[in-house]
Amino acid sequence: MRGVYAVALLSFKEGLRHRVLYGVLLAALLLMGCTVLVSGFFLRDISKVILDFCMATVTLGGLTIPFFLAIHLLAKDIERRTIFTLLTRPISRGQYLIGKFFGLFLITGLIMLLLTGGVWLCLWGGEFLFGSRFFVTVSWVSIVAALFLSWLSVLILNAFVVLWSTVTTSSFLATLLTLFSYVIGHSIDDVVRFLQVEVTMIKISDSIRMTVDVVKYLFPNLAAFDLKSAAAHGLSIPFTDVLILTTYATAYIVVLLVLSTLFFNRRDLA
Amino acid sequence: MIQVSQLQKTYMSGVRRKPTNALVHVSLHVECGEIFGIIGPNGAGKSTLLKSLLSLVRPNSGTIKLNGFFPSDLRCRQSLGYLPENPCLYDNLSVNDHLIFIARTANLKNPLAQQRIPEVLAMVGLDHVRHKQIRTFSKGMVQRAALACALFTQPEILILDEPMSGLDPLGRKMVTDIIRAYNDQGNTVLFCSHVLTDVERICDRIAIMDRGQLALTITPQELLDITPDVRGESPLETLFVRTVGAGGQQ
Amino acid sequence: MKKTGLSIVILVGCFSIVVWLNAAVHDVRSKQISAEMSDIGRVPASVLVASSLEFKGAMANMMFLNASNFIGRKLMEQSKTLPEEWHQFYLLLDRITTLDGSFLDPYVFAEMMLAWQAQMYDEANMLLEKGIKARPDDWRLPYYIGFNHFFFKKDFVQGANYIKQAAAIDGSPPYFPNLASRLAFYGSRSKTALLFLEEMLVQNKQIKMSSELEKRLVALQGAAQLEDAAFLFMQQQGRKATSIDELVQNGFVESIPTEPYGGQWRLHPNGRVDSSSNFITVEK
Repeated sequence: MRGVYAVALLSFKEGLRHRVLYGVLLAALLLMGCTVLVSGFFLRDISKVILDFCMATVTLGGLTIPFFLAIHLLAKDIERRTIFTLLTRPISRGQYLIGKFFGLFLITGLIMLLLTGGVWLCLWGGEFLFGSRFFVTVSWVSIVAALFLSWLSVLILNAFVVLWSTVTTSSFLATLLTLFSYVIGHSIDDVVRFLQVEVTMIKISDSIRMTVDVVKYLFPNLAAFDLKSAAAHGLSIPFTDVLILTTYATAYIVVLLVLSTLFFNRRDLA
Repeated sequence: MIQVSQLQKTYMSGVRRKPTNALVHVSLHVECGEIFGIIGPNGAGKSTLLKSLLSLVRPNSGTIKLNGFFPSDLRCRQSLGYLPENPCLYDNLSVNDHLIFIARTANLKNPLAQQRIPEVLAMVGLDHVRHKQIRTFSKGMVQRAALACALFTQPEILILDEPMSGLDPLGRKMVTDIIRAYNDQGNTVLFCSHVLTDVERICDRIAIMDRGQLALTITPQELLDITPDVRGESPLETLFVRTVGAGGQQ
Repeated sequence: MKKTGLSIVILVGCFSIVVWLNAAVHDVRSKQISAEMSDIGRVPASVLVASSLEFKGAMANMMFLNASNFIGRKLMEQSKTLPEEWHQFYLLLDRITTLDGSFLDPYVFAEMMLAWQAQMYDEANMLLEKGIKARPDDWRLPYYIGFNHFFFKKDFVQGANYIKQAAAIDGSPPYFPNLASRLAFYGSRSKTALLFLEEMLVQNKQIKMSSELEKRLVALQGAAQLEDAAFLFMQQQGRKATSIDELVQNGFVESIPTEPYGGQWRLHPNGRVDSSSNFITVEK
């Protein structure tokens, strides 16, 4: 535990010192500010428009972590051998990976929390500009639930970065594989749905069906974590759904981290 | 105490998995309180040997014991300090951050750590840049910072990979002094280098490594019996050229 | 070794949870997507084109997947598609064809869904006209429009014009010129329709026959059979048959073909056969 804690804290600190993060934060807040103004172009659903844009920005901000920062903190760590500083301490490789993951966990949480503050500011600004009658449907419980789920999906991607960084030897490949995982994770559910429809006019070969059946278990259903539009419309998000998704994400992350450890234990860090 | 017996490591490189023998039946015994130097040409397997001791590289066969523990045992790394070749520290963090991290992993209480940090930084001459980010450091400063990290927990065994590289003459002297002082406290030092004079000056025993094998082990006393082949050459240089050169001609 | 064993146990355990929850997670999303359909069709085409950057083809593909998912879901749930939804579907197809005009699938979809299912012939034809511009060498598109004119809109002249257009394109079936003239001449004879429909099915082999099409095919086959019999009757007896029963009694048909729409066959004085179910609306 001590090792995990030390690595997590070190990566958190290192990540926070990264300038990319401030750029992202600034850009995201600017973008949010713009959405408040842009939302004036719409007629009725102003709160929905603001929330759509703002929550998309929160997710985008969160996504920069696995795609930019996490790669730097993990794949580059191994590539540039800064990892030696850590692994020559009494820290096992599993502890190292879990620690790194928790470092990312903290950074992602912090960034998305700050951006959620931005959402609050935007709604407040919107209400100030356009009047509160447009904002009656806003449900903070739903917004927070949707953003929490969005955070979970980013965490799954972070775990993917951990996995791909341990499997490949280059940070570029790790980024690419993470991107693939993201795209597959977001589209697999649609493909599954497509195939479920027996009545579709297009014949589908059994081999494709089988592949999809395997892939749907191997890759996470990231699309299910996207409840942003429900939240934007002020619809309530059932607690059981949040519970199911949280359990699913946790189990998936554990799978990825254990798998990474198994791979990493066998790797030479020459 | 470091015991290495029959260590074997083959790297598989490339798509075709072309094997390269990095270590071929290497056996080694370093006593407590000894300064043991390994010299050898580039690619002789020195770094692989040292990395095997830290379990960064998994040997194919053979056993290693450090103070009675296997390298994969985390307890063995409690009493181990390692300075990698071309050390790379986290650019965005300060030496202080690094040392606090090490203190945490060593379960060192904060007041003790706060006391130890300036001590070790003064030792390597970095006390004035304690809170500066590593990115602002010169190569020599990074090397010294990494040495501070290795020395921080006062390990019983210190493993140094090219400790003098990138240092100016003053830096070299400082590192030599540190190694000596450290050794005087009864600790073991294992290091490799290809700067022969450094090795000759401080080692209790010297091993010459070539193409994955330990060619021979010698003490400075035994070196005195060797007459240089070329005038102005040190005895170790002569021995080195003889050993490695002979191997190269085979 | 012990640690590796433990890791594998955890791995298997957690992976089982993932597999076990897969369906539940799928359901979580089901609630969301059945609540709303892709609104992307409402985005003005110019905005869509601009924001798709250099990924217009990919964007069109994704949108097409969305459109076909929507239709598939509707068919699976066997729920009635509302006119509003069909309109949205049309918009979606329109945007897709704007993004990637040469993409054939949306045109096939326009024909199969908008024309056949939604009876939105004009919209379907509008999309297909777009397709003719983008794919001038594809005889299927004018052929579809001709089909719609002939089959649904009963505009035989227009239908014949489009079939002529299709016949002029390389690779079109050799009997097209003949078909065009027949169309112009005979108009609504069931046999022409049958020929048309069969050709449609041959051209779209990869498409599973929808039950609607299948039904129509059986009905047309029946009608064509009866019309042939009536024609033969007139040739041999020198007068027109007055009813379907007369055809059966005189042995021109072995038995009355089944009418899949459940209606009664009707023989018209002009020799044409239709059904009281009006599976095909013939001129009175």
